[in-house]
Amino acid sequence: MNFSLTDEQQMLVDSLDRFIENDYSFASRRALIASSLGYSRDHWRFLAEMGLLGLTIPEAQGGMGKGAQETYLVMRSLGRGLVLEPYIPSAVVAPAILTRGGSAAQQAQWLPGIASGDLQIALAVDEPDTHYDPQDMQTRLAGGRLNGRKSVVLGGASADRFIVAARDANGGFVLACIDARAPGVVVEAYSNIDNQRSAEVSLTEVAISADELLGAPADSLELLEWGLDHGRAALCAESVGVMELLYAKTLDYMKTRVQFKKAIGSNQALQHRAVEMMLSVEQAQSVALLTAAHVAHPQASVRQKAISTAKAQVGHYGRHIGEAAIQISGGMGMTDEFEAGHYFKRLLAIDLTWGDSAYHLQRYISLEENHP
Amino acid sequence: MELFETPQEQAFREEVRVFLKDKLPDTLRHRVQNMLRLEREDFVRWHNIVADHGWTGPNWPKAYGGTGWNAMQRKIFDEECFMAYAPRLIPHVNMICPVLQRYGTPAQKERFLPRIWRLQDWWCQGYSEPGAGSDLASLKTRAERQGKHYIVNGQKIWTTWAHWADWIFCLVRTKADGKPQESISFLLIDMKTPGITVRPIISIDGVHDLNEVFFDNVEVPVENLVGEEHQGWTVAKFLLGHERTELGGLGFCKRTLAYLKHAAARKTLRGKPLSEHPHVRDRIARFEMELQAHEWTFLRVVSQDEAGKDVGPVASVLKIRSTELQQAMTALMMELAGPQGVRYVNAAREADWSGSLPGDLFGNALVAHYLDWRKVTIFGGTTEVQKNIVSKSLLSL
Repeated sequence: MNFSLTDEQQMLVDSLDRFIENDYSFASRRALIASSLGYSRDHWRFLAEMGLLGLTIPEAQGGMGKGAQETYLVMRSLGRGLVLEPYIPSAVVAPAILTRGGSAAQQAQWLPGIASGDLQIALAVDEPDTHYDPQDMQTRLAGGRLNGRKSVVLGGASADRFIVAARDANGGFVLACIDARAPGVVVEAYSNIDNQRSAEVSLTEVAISADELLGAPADSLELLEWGLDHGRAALCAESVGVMELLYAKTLDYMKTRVQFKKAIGSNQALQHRAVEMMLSVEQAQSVALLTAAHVAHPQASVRQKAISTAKAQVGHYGRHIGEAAIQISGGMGMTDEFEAGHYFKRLLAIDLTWGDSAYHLQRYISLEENHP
Repeated sequence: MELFETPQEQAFREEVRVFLKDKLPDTLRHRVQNMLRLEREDFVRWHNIVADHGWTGPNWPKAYGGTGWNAMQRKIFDEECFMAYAPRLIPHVNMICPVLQRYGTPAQKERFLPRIWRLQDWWCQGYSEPGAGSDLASLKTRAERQGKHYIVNGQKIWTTWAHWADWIFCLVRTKADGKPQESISFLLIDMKTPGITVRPIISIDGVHDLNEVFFDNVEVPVENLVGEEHQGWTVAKFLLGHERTELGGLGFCKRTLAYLKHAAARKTLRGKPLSEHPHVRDRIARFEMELQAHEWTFLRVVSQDEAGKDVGPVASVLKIRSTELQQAMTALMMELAGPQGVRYVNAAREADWSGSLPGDLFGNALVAHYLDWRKVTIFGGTTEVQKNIVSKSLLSL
């Protein structure tokens, strides 16, 4: 095994880190949060120009044709910047679903637009009465009409299309890539705790044409899980970047904050917390790499086990890092002004997206029972 | 990045598996699997079987007759040995050898190195003292130069297998005071020298592995000094640095996880295996996940190390996570034993046991194993001391 980056991968990381360093200051990020869009069109265009919105899209469709390792590296860098642009839904999950389950015509129709940044697609899976498990979805496609309500659609506020997961009349699964402005679609946008934008999407008698349906019905659930797993892997990688930054900032604070006439970092109780934080950051990085290795594994159960291992552990490490950072930062850690809280909020949101630590522990266990 | 074992690494794993299947004697396997006691000759036998296969010194460079394996190969070998219930290779071998290879005189190398691997000489480590545990530099055992000898007086403690040892490598004070860097020396002492007394220490699990070693005017020839006089601290630090790249307890963890799954499937509660009860099932799954995280952290460190890059402070603290995980798993094993867990007949772990109590794993030994394993966060630098050291480099305050 070998974890060294290729020169090309190192260049990718360097250029993204430069972008974050130069164009993604905390002050400018605050301004984006306050804007109506919630992110920057300029940044979105920049990501498109760098080829990153089509990172995993085949070259024939205007993308870069890269794989999970590059997604890991990109997400880790975006995590360091607490980047607000809806990269994961549109540039990770939708391409994963479309490249695997879309027909040639569907791929030609949507993938180039995603890569160029002109088209955003968000995944609509969770519902008011689901707890992460797609089995519990109530949204129905019957007689060519889609009815239901989708909840916390990440990137849904700015999406041009939704990939909607639903049950058909026979209880099977379907995925439909629908126009966000189609009659019967109502989008209610809002901001999450981490300042990323989501939407509640209600679907009333939305007419679905055959060319909007993705994949063969029998494979729809696996196609959905495939897409979700790619999103989860990206979240794990992003969390590594977030944790690295939060940990580094906490160390800085320990060195500079003076109480009782000495830096608070000279106290053993806090020093040991710092070492514990470092260990969690390292373990998070390890499991995130585990997802990069396995997210495209040909055997679904192997992929799912690795993803659930990582997502369960990353949730756990993220909580640890965030809680420790707030505690060490004292009163400042409780303020909106101080950066630590913003990193922690992203870590919490990552845990609560597409299955939290507890959900993935149980998913892992049932996978172990069925595919030992 | 190459995130899977290469075909060469897989082939090596297979080679080790075949070796273990063919050459590990059933009697040894049985004893290890059931946590029965191994005697000196059991370890000697196993070392010789490995050596006869041509694998002398998995951790040594080829120049000294070692295998020249890289860290990945060593990891695979270690894991497979654990999973096959092979006896462990004596850790002291991998302490004294690198020291002699690096600091030994040609005469010392010629005299000692060839006899180490097959345990023709059994070595033990004389570092800790009653007043020098984590604070090793405060050691008091002194060696005074008199002509062609050092006269050694003092006491060592926690000396594992001193009662089986032919030789002890010792840190001794050759100057009454001064910085440790300028007053400590590294000596090789023949355990048969007059004036040495070994007194057993019975551990918390009733077992005799540890000892106190007393030195009363023990004469040690000056040619048994390793490195320069008063420079023993450098040698000791080199040895600790060598220990750092040890295997992160992966083999132990994997074996213990296998035990846990086996036990949880075998024991029942209200007609259902414990493995199907959430309170057991969830914990085992968490262990499995944490172990994966730990393994990949270990692999990342190894990969960086082999690429010649600075591995940073994480290498020093791999032991912290590993030992926590080990202890948590031994705790669950004890719990899985259920009411029988309280039973403990130490003699049932001996080779000559003929009583009626089953000497098998789940019939005995699990509480003892849990208690014994409290040691791993204490020896080789306690968790707290490790954190003290590492946080200094993190914070540079």
